[in-house]
Amino acid sequence: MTTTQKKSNLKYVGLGVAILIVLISAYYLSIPPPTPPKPTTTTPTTTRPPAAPTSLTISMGMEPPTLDPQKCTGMPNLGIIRLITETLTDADYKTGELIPHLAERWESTPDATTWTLYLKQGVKFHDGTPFNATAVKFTYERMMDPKVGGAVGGAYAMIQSVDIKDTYTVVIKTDPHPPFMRLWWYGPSAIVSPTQVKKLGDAEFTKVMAGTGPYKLVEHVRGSHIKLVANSDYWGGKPKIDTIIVKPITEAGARLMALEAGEVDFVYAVPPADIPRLEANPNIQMIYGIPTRAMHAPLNTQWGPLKEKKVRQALNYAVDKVTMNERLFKGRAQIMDAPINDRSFGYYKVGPYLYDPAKAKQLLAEAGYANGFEVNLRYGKGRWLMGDEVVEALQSYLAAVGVKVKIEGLEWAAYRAKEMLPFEKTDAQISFGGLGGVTLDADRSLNELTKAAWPPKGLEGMFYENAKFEELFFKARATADSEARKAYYKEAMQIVWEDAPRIFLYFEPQIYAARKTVQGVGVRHDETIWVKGATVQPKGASAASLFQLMPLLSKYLEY
Amino acid sequence: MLRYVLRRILMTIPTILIASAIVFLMLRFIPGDPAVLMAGEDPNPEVILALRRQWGLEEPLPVQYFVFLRNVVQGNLGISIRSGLPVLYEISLRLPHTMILSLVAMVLSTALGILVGIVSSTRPYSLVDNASMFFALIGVSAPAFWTGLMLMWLFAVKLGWLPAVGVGTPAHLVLPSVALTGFTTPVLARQTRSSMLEVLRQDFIRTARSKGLSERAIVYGHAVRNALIPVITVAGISFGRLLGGSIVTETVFAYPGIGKMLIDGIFARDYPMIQGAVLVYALIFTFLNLFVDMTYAYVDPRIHYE
Repeated sequence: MTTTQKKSNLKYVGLGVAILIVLISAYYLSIPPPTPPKPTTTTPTTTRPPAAPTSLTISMGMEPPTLDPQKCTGMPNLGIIRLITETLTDADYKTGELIPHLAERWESTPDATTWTLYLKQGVKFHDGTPFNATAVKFTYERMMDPKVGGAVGGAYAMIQSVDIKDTYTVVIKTDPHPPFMRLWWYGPSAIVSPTQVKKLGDAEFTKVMAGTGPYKLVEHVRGSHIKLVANSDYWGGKPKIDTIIVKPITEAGARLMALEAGEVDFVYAVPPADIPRLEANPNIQMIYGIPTRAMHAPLNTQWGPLKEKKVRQALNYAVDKVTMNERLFKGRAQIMDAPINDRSFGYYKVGPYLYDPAKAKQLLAEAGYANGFEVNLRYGKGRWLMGDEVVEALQSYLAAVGVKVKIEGLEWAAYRAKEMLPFEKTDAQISFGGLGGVTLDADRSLNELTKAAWPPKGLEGMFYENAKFEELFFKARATADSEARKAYYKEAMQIVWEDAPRIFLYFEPQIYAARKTVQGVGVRHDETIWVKGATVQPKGASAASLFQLMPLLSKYLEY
Repeated sequence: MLRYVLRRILMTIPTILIASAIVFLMLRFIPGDPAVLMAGEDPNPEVILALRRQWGLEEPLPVQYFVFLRNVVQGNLGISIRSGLPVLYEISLRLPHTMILSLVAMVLSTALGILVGIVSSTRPYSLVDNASMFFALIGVSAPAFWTGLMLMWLFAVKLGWLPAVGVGTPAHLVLPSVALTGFTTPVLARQTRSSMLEVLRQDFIRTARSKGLSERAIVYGHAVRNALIPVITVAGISFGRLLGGSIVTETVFAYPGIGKMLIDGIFARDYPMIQGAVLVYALIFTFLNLFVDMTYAYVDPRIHYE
């Protein structure tokens, strides 16, 4: 090669490198610099220097697709939404009892059709407009409006009208429904600023958000993170943690590593197998929530051998739930002893089905299936904690009593498509899935067992039909007398438990992990976190942060 | 040459049309309904129907496709079902991240792969050669998923040298791009090695040696240029695989790129999002192929396009 050729080659290479450098620099220049936390507006009462800004980084497995409460249906959204917007009532994070929140007190008529709520005065939205009855009416109507795209409207179908009695009093008229007040706490009804929604429209509103909550939305960089800053005008007092950053990390292993590396302070959904390793880590603490999500295997009561009550009971006796709990969940799940969890209103202990394979075989023989039978088990993969393992365990327990199970694991969307087929088209035999118990009331949890909840209106392919159960359930719904309701539910649950339309298994454990610098973060039974009294110690410098251009946090602390 | 390029660009249009039509049809035939998924635990059939109508999913298929095409021509890729935001906006937020990651990974793997291949070929069956090919085998066999997590564990957790997840600084690029190079580098190394071995056997190399040229001049000045053509082909295909592999890597490292957006969209059956992302990928691939073909002309002066 001649020198001129060499030089021209080098020129091209040099040009290429230069272009690459320009591209990369342009890219990094286009990333907006991190917004500095807002300065505190309260004057310090001591002569100490101002406190270092504290920040809490949370990570969960799924990204909230939208922060608009009226469009939310799933847990990942709700956890964050409560920090920005608030519902009329709150719930104690240990017991689930209703607490006044945006509504100070309420009354209802004995027939449970008219509900009057007296709202807190002097509360402002993040955009400065006042919170009042107009905002509540606007929000509830928006929630039930199918055009807004809120699929949650269905849960509030009993509402007939929402009226303003005066500036701070709302009157809601419903069909007779005593458990209605439980729904005031349900996330999708969180109150939003009518002014902002009307001004910006739904799409823009979700980028900005204006609620009454302790944190304001700073930015939602899709796919990356959500940044919230403390609301200094919050009616409940300014929160102690200045900034909250939410970083969704889908891959559980990566999420835990980010926690161990110190990039994230608090993580949701820790796989049980990682508990021993994390417990051994001196920087990390485990936090356990109350299990409320019911995990069970719905049985199609109109198909083949499952038509027989004895067969269904046999399947319940065949599964060793205690061992499953120990091995798969390190004992953190709660074995089901009733169709609903023990913190729900109306709970009554009717079980559990103790492990008894001999009895299972005996029942199968009595029903005419001494040689067992073959059955299909369908479930949605990737959705439930240790789902694959539980299903395999079920398969082996059932095989031990002669029932051969063929497992059909589908991707979640495909599974939903099959589960929602109506009775005439369904091919459901055994399924496996979960049902949340967030309202902590038997009405919502037992609803799935009524005929009205057969797919496509409901989620579980049980096609269960018991006239006595229906009678009790609707009687309980129709009365406001707590004691009477409890009595109806008790009898109803005894019937259901004996009929065994499901293999009753366990309540899913809620396992969280946090760095020890975080104190006082509580977790509610609906998987939302409670940061009211929480504090975070500012981080020191680490090697990784040296790469970053943020100034090192000062060592001054103020509690 | 210019006419050739223009002609190639025109040919991208039918390619992309066909690709988008296939994806469009496939989406609507696989089980899974976005409205049902959005409905969560309250599947009210009336609400589901209302949602489907709102998203135009109740129209006959040809009408839906026509509406989609008409919108695309106007530059509108639709509104994402999950977030309610325009798909083009969502893509524009994420595409730069993926492009930068892929570019860095490609440059790294090309440079490293070709270099390793050349060095291996000049010392065939030596320790260096065998060691390189051994590591190449590991790189190709290990799933990107596993490589990513291992790198994260070593460099972010144990050593604390690099950030584990996310974006924001050049340091965040390092682990994901190294994970990505995991399978393209070995492929390029092997291809370069075998190409070079073939070229080095040729007569004109013997002539160059007998002329007294240094080994270095022969290898880098003459042999490499001739060996590059199959390597460029493989590099082009590898870049394609890299873009595909970025889906897994982006999920592992929580890197907000278009691959992760596509995966999330698929699980939620977010039709507009999936269609938009696939369209973008198709465009990238077509222009990539064009670029690769043009590179042939630069490397081998015998190749002319018209």
